[in-house]
Amino acid sequence: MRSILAGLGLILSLQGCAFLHHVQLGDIDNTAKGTPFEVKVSETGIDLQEAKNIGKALSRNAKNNKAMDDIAGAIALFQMGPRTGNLVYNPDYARNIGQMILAECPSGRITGITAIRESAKYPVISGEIVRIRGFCDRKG
Amino acid sequence: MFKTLVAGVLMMAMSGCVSLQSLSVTQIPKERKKIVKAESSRFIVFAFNFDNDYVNNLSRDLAEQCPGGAVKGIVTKDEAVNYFLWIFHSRRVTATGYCVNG
Repeated sequence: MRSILAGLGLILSLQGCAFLHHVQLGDIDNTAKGTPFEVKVSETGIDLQEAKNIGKALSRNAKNNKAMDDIAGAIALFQMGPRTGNLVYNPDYARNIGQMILAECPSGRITGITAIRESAKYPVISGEIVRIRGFCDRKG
Repeated sequence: MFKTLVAGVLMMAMSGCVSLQSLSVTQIPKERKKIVKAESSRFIVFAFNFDNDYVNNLSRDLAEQCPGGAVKGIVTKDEAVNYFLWIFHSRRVTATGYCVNG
């Protein structure tokens, strides 16, 4: 019974829970027939709080636990302000999404854009994802 | 008295509190006669939600309501409906726009 529960827990944790942060629809031009496309960029995010909690649970040394609290506190001081999802260490990961869209749709005649910002959450780490879906008029 | 109280609490728990997660709007057109609306939602138990694909067809749903035209002034609203202590909640995305003749 215990192993079944552990297996189930493992499967669920490896699946990754999806969190939707933001969705935005753009204007739709229905006069031309477009083919659907999707581009996606993602970066690994880290939940420092969760990492700290796991580290503290594994370590029984009070000195180490104090050090982990201090490190997490010091990092938190430099991570203020509003954000969606976990911290990423490459702030430019979504910078080239415009070029990626143009590569998918060289004509540039794009309509019905859906911009999605989401996270796929795993233990400690997460996938910080930006997805753009739309319709491309390839004839233009 | 006790039954009324229980029923009251149950009704409040089931009705759900709504919170706005995000909102966006595009340029609003001059012609605003025909309103088109599309909605998509997902009911989530605990946090077990493995994808956000339920939002994928919103754009297509709006387009189908405006054949040969253009949908402009789209307001996209993303809401979370909390039913009971976040054990059950749902996410609802609503898109409303104006169908303009092409």
